[in-house]
Amino acid sequence: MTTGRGVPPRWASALLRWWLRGEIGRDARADLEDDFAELSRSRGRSWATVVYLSHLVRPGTWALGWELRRREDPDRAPRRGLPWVSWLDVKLGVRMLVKHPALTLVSGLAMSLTIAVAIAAFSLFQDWFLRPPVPLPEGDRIVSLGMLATDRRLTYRQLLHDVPVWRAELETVELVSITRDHRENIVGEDGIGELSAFTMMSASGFEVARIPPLLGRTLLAGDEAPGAAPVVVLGYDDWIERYDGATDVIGRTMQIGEQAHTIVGVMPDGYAFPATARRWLPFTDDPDDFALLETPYLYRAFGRLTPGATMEAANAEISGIGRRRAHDLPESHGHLRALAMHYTDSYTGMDNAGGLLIVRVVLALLTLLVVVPFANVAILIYARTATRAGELSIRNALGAGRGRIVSQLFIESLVLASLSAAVGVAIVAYGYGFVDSLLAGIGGADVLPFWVRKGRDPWVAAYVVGLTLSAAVVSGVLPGLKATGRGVREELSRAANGNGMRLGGVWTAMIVFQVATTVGLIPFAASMGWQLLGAGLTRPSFDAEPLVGAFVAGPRRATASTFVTAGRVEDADRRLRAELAVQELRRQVSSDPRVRQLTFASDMPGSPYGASILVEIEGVAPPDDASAHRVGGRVDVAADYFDVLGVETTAGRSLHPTDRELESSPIVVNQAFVDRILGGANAVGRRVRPWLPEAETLGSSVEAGGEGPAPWSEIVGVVDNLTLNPTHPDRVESRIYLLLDEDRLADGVFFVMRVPDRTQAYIPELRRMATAVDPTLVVGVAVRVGEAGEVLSSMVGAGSVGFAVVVLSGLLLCSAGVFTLMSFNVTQRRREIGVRTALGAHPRRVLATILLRSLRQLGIGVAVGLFLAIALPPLNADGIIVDATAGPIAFVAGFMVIVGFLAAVGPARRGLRIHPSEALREG
Amino acid sequence: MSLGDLQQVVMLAVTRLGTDAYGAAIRDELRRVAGRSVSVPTVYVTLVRLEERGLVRSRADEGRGSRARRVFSLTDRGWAALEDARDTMDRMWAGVSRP
Repeated sequence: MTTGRGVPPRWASALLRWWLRGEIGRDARADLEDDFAELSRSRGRSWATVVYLSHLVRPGTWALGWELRRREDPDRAPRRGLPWVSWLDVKLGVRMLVKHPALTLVSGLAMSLTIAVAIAAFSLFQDWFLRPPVPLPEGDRIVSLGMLATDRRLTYRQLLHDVPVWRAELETVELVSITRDHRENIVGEDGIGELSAFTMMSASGFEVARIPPLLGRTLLAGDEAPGAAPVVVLGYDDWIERYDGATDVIGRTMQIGEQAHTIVGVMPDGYAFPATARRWLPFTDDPDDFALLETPYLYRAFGRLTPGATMEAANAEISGIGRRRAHDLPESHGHLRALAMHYTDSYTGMDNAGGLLIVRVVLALLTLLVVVPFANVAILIYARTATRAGELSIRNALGAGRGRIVSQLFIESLVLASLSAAVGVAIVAYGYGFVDSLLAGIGGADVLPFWVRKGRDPWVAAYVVGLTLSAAVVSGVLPGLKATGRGVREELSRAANGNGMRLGGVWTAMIVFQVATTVGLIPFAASMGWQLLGAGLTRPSFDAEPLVGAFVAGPRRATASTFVTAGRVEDADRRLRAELAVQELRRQVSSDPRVRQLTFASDMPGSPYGASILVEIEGVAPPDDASAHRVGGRVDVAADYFDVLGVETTAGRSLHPTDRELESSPIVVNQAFVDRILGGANAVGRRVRPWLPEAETLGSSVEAGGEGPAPWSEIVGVVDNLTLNPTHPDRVESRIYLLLDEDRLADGVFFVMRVPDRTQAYIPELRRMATAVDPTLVVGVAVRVGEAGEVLSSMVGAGSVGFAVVVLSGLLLCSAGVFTLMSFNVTQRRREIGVRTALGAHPRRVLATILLRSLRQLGIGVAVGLFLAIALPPLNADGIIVDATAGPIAFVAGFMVIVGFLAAVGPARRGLRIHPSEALREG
Repeated sequence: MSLGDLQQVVMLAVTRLGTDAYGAAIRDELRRVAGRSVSVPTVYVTLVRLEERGLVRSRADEGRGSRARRVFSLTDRGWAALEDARDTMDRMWAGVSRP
């Protein structure tokens, strides 16, 4: 890949070439390019680019350009300096803000929020999708190696078996390394086991990153050898939090599961390579162990481009190897294509230029959307500019040209836009702080990769400057150009006489546009915000407060994440040990006097997550557009589950311990299943079975069935919806409840305990008990069930409040815009009102004519807006959303009509009050 | 002939650097010795104006690696102006001491 690392952007060089001419100009440019290359090496290309671009606007560069031109041709050289920038204009701008506080508040708020939303979106895209720079020495030479399946998705499991081949054969990529996540208990001195994230990584991975350890050493190839003493390298946070930053930590041991690992090194603060690592273990998975293909492990491979090698060359080479392996091993590799990619691509999936282009287009469209609020601010500013016609006219008479007046208006807007940008940046900074604190609450250090800069990025700074300038141009220059346009002297002198500026059809068009965009866009946004708000305010539908939910599993080959789904323990010895351990823990918990009740389930009670499944229901045809019914998920529960949770059975009966022996394999469904899938009809007695292509999803239910259709299960009861905090209060997912196979608890199960007193304090107690039973026993997520809802609720709640603020300020801004436009429009017709009254028209009739015309303008706006609202693709995609926006559309349309009407009534009535002769004189 | 502050330090940097007095080197010298941070274009615009006043002259230095640059040096007038500036300052300082 040609990165052009040492070369500044071509367009910027071209601009400087145009501005800095001759031999001196060439020398200056060459020096700046040298600086660029140097900075690029030391601080990264992004930083170098921003510094280089800053020269385009620095006074020294401008002055040199002027001097060089003057030397070339003294007569033709433009005037020196920047005549349009004056401190007086800046002061005037500040004074205008103070003088019109309402305008300042409305437009400032709108600009701030717009800029905040745009920055947040931009920095998110920068950090995630747009191939962010890897902040490591020569980070742009670190590449990910992967394999694409025919469906263009990256495949991760197989990498283990290909990395040795790549390591041996690749000449364009060195230090080929492999990594995967691993979870295991860290057993503290207090005996409490804490399920913790580790990164297993090839020792060469540390050489790829090129960051030396803070203490001790990194992992070595010898650590990976079979029989090598177990070692661990700590991350900085662990070193501080667990060992208080002790410098003699090297050589101590950390109890990880059953084994004591010697701490051999500590990595510096902020180091999390390959992505979110906190502590590192040697990579010991055997490439010849093909059973690992059955695990949910996600392997990632990476390396460094060898000196002189390009991404293209690496890609060509690895593709060649991939093709050869596809030929040699058609079954396993026939459908795969090996490739080298930008390092972050294996995490973001942005492995192709097409995806990148789409992301850029989306970002550009999002950025274009800011024009709508900016245009609204422009309307308000324009209205203010029109009231200042007298002042502008005098300045014009005193010799200020159009450029001078427009530049003054631009500077005034720039003052407002800069203040708004500062507020916008502060909002985003606060937002990131809030997200950080929320993520910290749910162990978020594992969530964000180390290259995420959260706005601390020179490109984001450049984007903010760009947005601020655009806001100033749209809201200052455009109204200024319009106000001082054609026949400026004539217009201004008319305006100075008190008649305002004539705009004719433009007013009508602006009113229609304003009303239409408001009616078309705001309700859609409002209904989205409302749905979010509803989700944020929802509380658990059962008494979750005294419940503790803890995921417990035997030692397994993999636990992919904190919210793990059960994976089977296949090894017979391990399995037996795990079964015994889980049963022992169960016995201890049951006999614990603090625990009132204990039950089991395959998922956290009320969790809104779940893999949907397709089922057939006897006698009930699937929806027209589907071949089967889609159920939100299946949960395996103990027979007493609903009793422990206090969930009512609304029809039939609950599950019973002896149900497993019945041939009808009874199941229970929730009310959402009845409402959504059966349309409210009676469920009890109906039979359900997995739709064959999806049969595996129901696991054990089909085992007996072999190749044929799965056996039917009979619905024996209906229970109330069990929701912790659904993402939409009206959209609880449908659920099927099966009786849990209690012989398979070791595969992973949620212990659900009712602990009425000191609920939270019981969690470390449970961990301690589990570790004492068996240090390899995994206790994954363990929380108060109510708390799981609170985290979700606070995140969604905060998001929806932010969204509501944005929508409401949008509505405020739009209505202020319509009010201004309408009242100006009517004010301008004072003369017409006067003439008609002078000719003998009845005042009421004149008033009616004026107001009818205003209503017509509003009506056209509403009609166009409705068309927009209906034509918008997201509204048609899902009928429910259409329903949800119908109310808001009516509200916003009505609101805009009332605002516009009120804005017209005042000036029209005032117009009637002036004497006809005065009105005629104004013309 | 009066000289501005920046002009004086740029001229002094030119003399200190001798045959290496080109834009970026002068900028680095100003930062290193005088602790002043100025951009390369600012250095050049100062040099252009000084050259116009006949205080410095430039010549292309072909023998410098792959890239020819313009190297600056002081003219006799430039030396005189620099010495004059120093004399002025010396005279102004004469007899002045911190109370």
